[in-house]
Amino acid sequence: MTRGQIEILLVEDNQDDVELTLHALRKENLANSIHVARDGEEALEFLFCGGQFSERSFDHPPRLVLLDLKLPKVDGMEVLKRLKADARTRTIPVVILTSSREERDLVSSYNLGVNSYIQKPVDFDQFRETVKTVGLYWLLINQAPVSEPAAHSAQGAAGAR
Amino acid sequence: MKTPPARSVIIQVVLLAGVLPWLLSLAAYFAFGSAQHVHERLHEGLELIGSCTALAVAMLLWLRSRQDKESPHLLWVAAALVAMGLVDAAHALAPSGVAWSWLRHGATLVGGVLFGLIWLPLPAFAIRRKQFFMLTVAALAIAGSLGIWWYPDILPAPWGPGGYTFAVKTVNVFGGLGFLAAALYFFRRYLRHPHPESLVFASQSLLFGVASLLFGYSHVWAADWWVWHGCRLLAYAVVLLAAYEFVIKLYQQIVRDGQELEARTVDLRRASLYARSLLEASLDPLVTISREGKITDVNEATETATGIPRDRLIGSDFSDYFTDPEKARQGYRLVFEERSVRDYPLAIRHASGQVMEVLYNASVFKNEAGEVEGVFAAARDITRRKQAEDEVRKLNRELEERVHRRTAQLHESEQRVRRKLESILSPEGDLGNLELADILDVPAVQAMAEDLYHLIPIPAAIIDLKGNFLVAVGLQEICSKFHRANPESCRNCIESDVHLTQGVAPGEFRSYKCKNNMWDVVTPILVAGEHLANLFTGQFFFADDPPDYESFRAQAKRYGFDEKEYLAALDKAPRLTREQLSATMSFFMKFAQLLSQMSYSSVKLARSMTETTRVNAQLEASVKELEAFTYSVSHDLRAPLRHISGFSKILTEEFGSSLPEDAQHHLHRIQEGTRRMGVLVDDLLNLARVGRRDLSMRITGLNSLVNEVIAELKPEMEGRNVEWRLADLPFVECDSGLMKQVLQNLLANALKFTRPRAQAIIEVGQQEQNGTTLIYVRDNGVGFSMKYADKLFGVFQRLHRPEDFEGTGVGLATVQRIIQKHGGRTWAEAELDKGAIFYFTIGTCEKSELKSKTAVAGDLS
Repeated sequence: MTRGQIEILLVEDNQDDVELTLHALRKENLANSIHVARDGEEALEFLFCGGQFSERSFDHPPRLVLLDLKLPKVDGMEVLKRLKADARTRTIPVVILTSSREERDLVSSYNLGVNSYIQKPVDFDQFRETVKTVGLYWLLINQAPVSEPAAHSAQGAAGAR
Repeated sequence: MKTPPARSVIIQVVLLAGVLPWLLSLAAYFAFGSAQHVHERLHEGLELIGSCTALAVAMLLWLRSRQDKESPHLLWVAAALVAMGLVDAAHALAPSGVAWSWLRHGATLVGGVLFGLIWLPLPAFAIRRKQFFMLTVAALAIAGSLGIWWYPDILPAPWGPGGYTFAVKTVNVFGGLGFLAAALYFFRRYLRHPHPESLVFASQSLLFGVASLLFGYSHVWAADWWVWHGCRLLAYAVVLLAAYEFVIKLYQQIVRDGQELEARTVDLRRASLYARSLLEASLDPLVTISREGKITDVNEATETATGIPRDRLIGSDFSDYFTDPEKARQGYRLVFEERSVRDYPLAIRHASGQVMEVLYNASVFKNEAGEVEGVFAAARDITRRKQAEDEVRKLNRELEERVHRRTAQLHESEQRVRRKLESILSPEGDLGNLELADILDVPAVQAMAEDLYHLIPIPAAIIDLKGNFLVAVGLQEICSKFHRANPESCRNCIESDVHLTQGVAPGEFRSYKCKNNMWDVVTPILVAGEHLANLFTGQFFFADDPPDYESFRAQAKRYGFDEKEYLAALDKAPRLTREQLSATMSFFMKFAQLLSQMSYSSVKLARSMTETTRVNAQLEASVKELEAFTYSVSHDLRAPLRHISGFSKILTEEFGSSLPEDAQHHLHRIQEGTRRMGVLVDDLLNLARVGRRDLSMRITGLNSLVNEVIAELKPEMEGRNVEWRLADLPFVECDSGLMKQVLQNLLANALKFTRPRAQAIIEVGQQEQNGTTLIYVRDNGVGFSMKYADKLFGVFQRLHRPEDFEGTGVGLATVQRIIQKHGGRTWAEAELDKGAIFYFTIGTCEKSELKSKTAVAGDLS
C-alpha cells in the first residue's frame, strides 16, 4: 500500500454483499480506496494496526468504516464498541450497514456512538443509491475533525493507487 | 553536702605548705651559717618535698584532665609538673657539683617551656594519646636527668668567679619567661571565667617565673639563693591548694555517688518487691521455667492450682503437673521456636487429682546480655468457660435436633400437599394419594349430617381408611366416653372400622358386630373407583336382639370401666328395627354415592381447569415462537433476495444489450419477482414486529394521522380523481406508529381498489354503536363477495388476482394484529363491485375538545 490511502474500510463477511457494495462504489470511483475486512477480528487488526497490519500507522486512519453487524469471530457491535472506546480511533465515522432492523440493535448501536445506521435495501437500485449517498456524504460533504491530508479528495486518492 | 573549703582553710594551707618551709629554710640559713653539709641536707629535703608535691599534683591534674574535657591546659600543666618534679628529684639526689647545678636549671627550663606552651591551642586529645604524651614527657625528663648526672663533663661550668655564668642566666630567664607567659594566660582566663583554679595556677606560674628570672643572679648557698628556693616551694604549695580543692571535690563526688547508689538500691528493692507482689497478686498461675525445663519461680496461684508448696515446685520438672506431660513439653518447645505461644490448651492436675482446664500464654525471657534464660508462662483457668461452652454446645445440639425434626415434619407435610395437588391436578395423577378430606367439603357435609340427625336421631360417621373421623353425628356415650376413650378398646374400634369394612361393593352395605360387641353398618365411598372412606351408622342394638349384658359386664371389668355407668350408657344406645335400619341404610348408600360422584366431579373440574390454563400458556408460547420464527425467516430471506436483485440488475445494465430479447424478458421477470418478494418479506417482518413490540400508548388525534397518510399516498393519486371525505375523528389513546400503519393499509387499499373508478370516493368517519366508537373507511371500489369475508384478515389471503390488484396479503393481517393488540376489533362489509367498508374499534376511544378542525382533503384529488 503505497500512496493510495485507504478511505473506506468495508467490514462484511458475505462475498455477494462485498461484490455488490464494491460495484456500487465503483460507479463513484470509490472502489479502489477500499479495504475489505471479512470478519470483526480482521477489522480490529486493520484499525488498530495489529497482526498483518502492523506496518500501518494510526496517522492514516480510514475516513469511513462500513460495518456489518453479523460477523464471524468478533461481531460488529464489539468492533464498534472497541473503536469508540479508544481515543485513537474514536473520531473515525462508523456507518452500520446491515440486514437487521431489530430495535435492540439500533438502540445499542446508537448508545455505542455509531454515526449512522442503515438497513440494506433489498432493491439494488435503492442499495446503490444508499451506498453512493453514504460514501459521498462522509468522504466529501462531512467535515472530519482529523487534520490529516484531507485535501486530496476521494477521487484523487482513488487514482493514486 | 560538704561546703567548699573556706578562705581561712586556703590561708592555712598556704602557710603550712608554702610559707612555713620557706621561713624554716631562711631560719635554718641564718642559724647554720656556712655549715655547708647542713645546707645540703636542708636543700635535699626541700627539693624532694617540692618534686614529690609536683608529681602528686601532676597525678591529680592528670586524673582531672581525663574527666574534664573543657580544660585542655591541664594536660600541659600536668606534663610540666611531671617533668619538673622528676628533674628536681634528680637535682635533689645528685651530689653538689656541675650536674647538680645544671639539673636545677634544666628543671626550670623544661618547666618554663611546658608551662609557656599552654598558649598553644591544644586539641582535646584522646585519653590514649594523653597517656602516651605524659609517658613521653616523663621518659624524656628521666633520660635527660640521667644524661646530665652521668655525663657532667659535656656541660660547661655553671658558675664562674662572678656567680652564675651567662648560659645559666639565659636558661633561667628563658624558663622564667615561659612561666610568666603561663601566668599571663591564667590571669586572662581568670578575667574571662573567674574561677579560683585559674587564679591558683596564675599565682603559681608567677611565683615560678619570678623565682626563675632572679635565680640566675643569686649565689649558691647564699640567702637570696634560698629565697628563690622558698619561692618555688610556695608555688608548689599554691598548686597543692588547687589539688586539695580537687581532692575535696572528688571526695564529695564519691560521697554523693555513694548516697545515690544507696537510694537507687532502695528503689530497686522497692521495685522488686512491687513486681513480686504483682506476681503474687495474680489469680492466674504464673511460673518461670529454666532452659532445662525446671521450674525456677512460681506464684501463690500456682501453689493453689497444683496443691504443692513453692519450695517443692521450684527445681522440679514443670511437665509433671499436667495431665498430658508430653503435650506440655511440646508447648514448651514451641515457645522456644516461636518465642511465644498463645492460648495453648493444657490441664493442670491438682495433688488431690482434680483437673483444671487452662489456656497457657507463654514467652521466653532474656537476661541482660539478651540471651534466652527461660520461659515465663501464665495459665488461665477455663474450666468454667469450658463447662459453659459444653452447655451451649449441648443446647445448640438439642435445638438443631428440634429444628431438624420440625423441618422433616414440614418437609413431609409439604410433600404430602404437593402429592395431593399433583394427584388432583395431573390427569394421570394417582387418586390413591388422595384422602377424602382433600376433595370433600368436610364442614359442609358435617353441617348437613347434623341437621339430618336433628330430624332422625340415627348416629352416622364418615371414617377414612386410616380410622380418622371426617364427619360424625350422634356419637353415643358408650362409644365416646368408654370404647374410644380407653386405648385398648379404642384399638378394637379402629380395627373394626378398617378391617371389618373391606370388600363391600359400592351401593351395598354390611352390618356387623364390632370387636366391642356393638352393631355397626357400613357402606363404602369410592371416588373414581378408589375406595377412600366408609360411611357408618352404628352403636345401636336391634330391637329384636337385646344386648348380652353378661359380656358387657366382662368388658367393663377387662377395660376397667365403671360397670354401672357403662351399662347406663349401653342402655342409652338406640334400639332399631330391621326395617328402620334398612331404610336408613338405603338413604346413606345413596348419600355415599352422591358424595362419591360430587367429589369425583370436583377433581375432574379442577383437572380440566388446569389443563385449560396449561394449553392457553402453550398457545401463547407457540404464537410468540411463530412470530419470532417469522421474523427471523423474513430477516434471513432478505440477504439472498438482495443479492439476486443486485446481480440481475448488474446483468441487465452491463450485459443487457448483448442478450437476446427472451433473456432480457426473463431477467426482467426475475427482478420483478425479487422486488415483490422483497415487499412481501418486509410486510411479513412488519407483521411479526407488531406482534413482538410493546405498545407505547399516547393520546393521538386520528385526523392528523389520516392527513399524514394521505400526504404520503400522493404518488399513488397521480393522474387520478380521488375525493376524500374526512369526518371529525376522535383523539384516542394508542401507539401512534402502529395506528398510522392501520390507516396506511386501509387508505392504501381503498385507493388501490378504487383504481377502476373514474371518480374515487374514500370516506373516513366514525359512528357510535352500543356505546362504542367505530372508525370506518368506506370506498366505492371493486368490493368483494362477503362469502370470503372470513378469509380477509388471514396472512397471504388475497381476493384478487395480482395482475388486477398487486399486494402481498399481509396488510390486513397486520391491521388486525395491531387492532387486537389495542384491545379492539376489526371487520369489513362489502358488496362485489359496489365498494367496501372497513371498521375498527379501539379499546379506549374518547371524544376530545382538543380535536382539530378537520382539513378536508378533497382538493387533493
